[in-house]
Amino acid sequence: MGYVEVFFQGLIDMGAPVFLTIILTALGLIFRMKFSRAFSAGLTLGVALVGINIVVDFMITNVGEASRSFVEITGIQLGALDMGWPPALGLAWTWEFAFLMFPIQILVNILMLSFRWTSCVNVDMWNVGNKVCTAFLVAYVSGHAWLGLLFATLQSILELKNADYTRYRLQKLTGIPGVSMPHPMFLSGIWFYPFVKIMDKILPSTVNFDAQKLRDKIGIFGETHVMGFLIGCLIGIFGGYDIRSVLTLGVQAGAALMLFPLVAKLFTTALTPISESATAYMKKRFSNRAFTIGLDWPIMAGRSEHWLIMILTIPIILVYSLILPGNLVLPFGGLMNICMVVPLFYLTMGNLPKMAIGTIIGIPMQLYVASYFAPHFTALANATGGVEVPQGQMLAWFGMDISELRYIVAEFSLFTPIGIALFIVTVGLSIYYFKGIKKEDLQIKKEMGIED
Amino acid sequence: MKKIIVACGGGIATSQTVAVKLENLLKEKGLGHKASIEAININSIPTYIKSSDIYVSITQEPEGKYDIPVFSGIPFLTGIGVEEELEKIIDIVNT
Repeated sequence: MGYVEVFFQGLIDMGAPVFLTIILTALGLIFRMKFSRAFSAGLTLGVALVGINIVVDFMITNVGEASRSFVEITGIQLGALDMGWPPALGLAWTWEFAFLMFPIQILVNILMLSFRWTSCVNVDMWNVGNKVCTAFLVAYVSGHAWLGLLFATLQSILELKNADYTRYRLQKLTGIPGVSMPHPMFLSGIWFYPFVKIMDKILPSTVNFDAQKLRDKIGIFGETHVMGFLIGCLIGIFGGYDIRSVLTLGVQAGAALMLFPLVAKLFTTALTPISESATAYMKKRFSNRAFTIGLDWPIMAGRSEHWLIMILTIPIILVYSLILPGNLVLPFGGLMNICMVVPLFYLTMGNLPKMAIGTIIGIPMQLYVASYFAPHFTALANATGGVEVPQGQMLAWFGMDISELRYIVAEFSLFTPIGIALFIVTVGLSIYYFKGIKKEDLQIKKEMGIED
Repeated sequence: MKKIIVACGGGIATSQTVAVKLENLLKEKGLGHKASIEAININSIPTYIKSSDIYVSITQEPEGKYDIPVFSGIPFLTGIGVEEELEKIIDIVNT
């Protein structure tokens, strides 16, 4: 046993980019890829990590410095800079046990298919990173890696159940049959569902309007570089910069937000071959029965409602961040609030007023959870050596998937009274949610006239 | 050389998955040099559409919304109906 431990510790000590290159190459070989392809995929993952580190570093240097100046001048303590989901999930991969989440997700899926507990074949490998994120956060808060992996496994199971219970809802919203959505953010339904039910009572669903026209007008603010530029300029102005520096910072901030996707997509390039092999295996194994293909959320991204609400609520996020006592997070990379708006879209079937109200109620919770986890994201960035976060600066992720659930399981893992209480409430709400959403889905199935 | 764009929520995960798979399929058919594929953010479509020849969409798009041919990227994600959609894309790539 000792030798194995020494061997793995030696691997981990080489740093995440080297370690993950080796691990992913090995995984590829296990999935019977040719060595050259496996190595290319593995190396792409290592390259992606180095790329993310470079861009996060760039962001801390420019936007971070301006934000520190902003804190000094205004006295508003926003020491945690929000990096948004592409670098945050990239960073999560540098956690030393991250790679275990691959086999765990695939194994959970195969077992649940075998026992007929799900009909979803999850081919979305990008969101393995979202399980890694839950695992690392719980592990960092509690000090126990196994607890993190346990909750991440639970997340995998619930994601598949949720995909099953919302497949006809998804078909109605997208028009695509035979797919389902095991994305973690829809587990936010557990806490959002009662609120949506209350809104259904108060607001008739006939109150709605056409999102397309308005979105076409303001769509430009949804372009990453434009949004980055505007926020960068704002931070510069409040940071007391002169006009030239304000504009320079604006362009740099635009560059940071534009470069994140360019490096983050390398993760997808690296993971796609593994995903293909795993999917082929599962499809072959369960070819004798009907299943749905579990996809990532953007097959719904063509609907204008998401982007309209996300863009319109950006100023609200900024105002909240300035006035909420105890908030530490300066929202930046995560301003497009996907993980709040899209689950609300899903639950309300795209009702704009309800989505807007839900988002406005939900943002403070997201900011507080982002503040709560900021020290841990900062610690991870420092521990894995890729990013040097300067003293007095923290890294955060605003708008994280299932913010509320991650906070609750993290507190629960410490057995704090609030953690235990919230966890018990969550169990109750889960039962209520899954029963309700399943019933609604069968209703939708009936309305659409779908036969088994 | 035809320029193909694929769009999703961030231009990172779903669209890049389609881009990688489509690129591999075109390479297998010996057409790798005839097309360049880029995954983009769905909000940037107005910026990219003018300089592109083919849009592979992963969402339902109304007919005739864009001036360039639009194909579905869903088959590349689900693995169902890949050949059919690929043939249509190849027809345009070869023109």
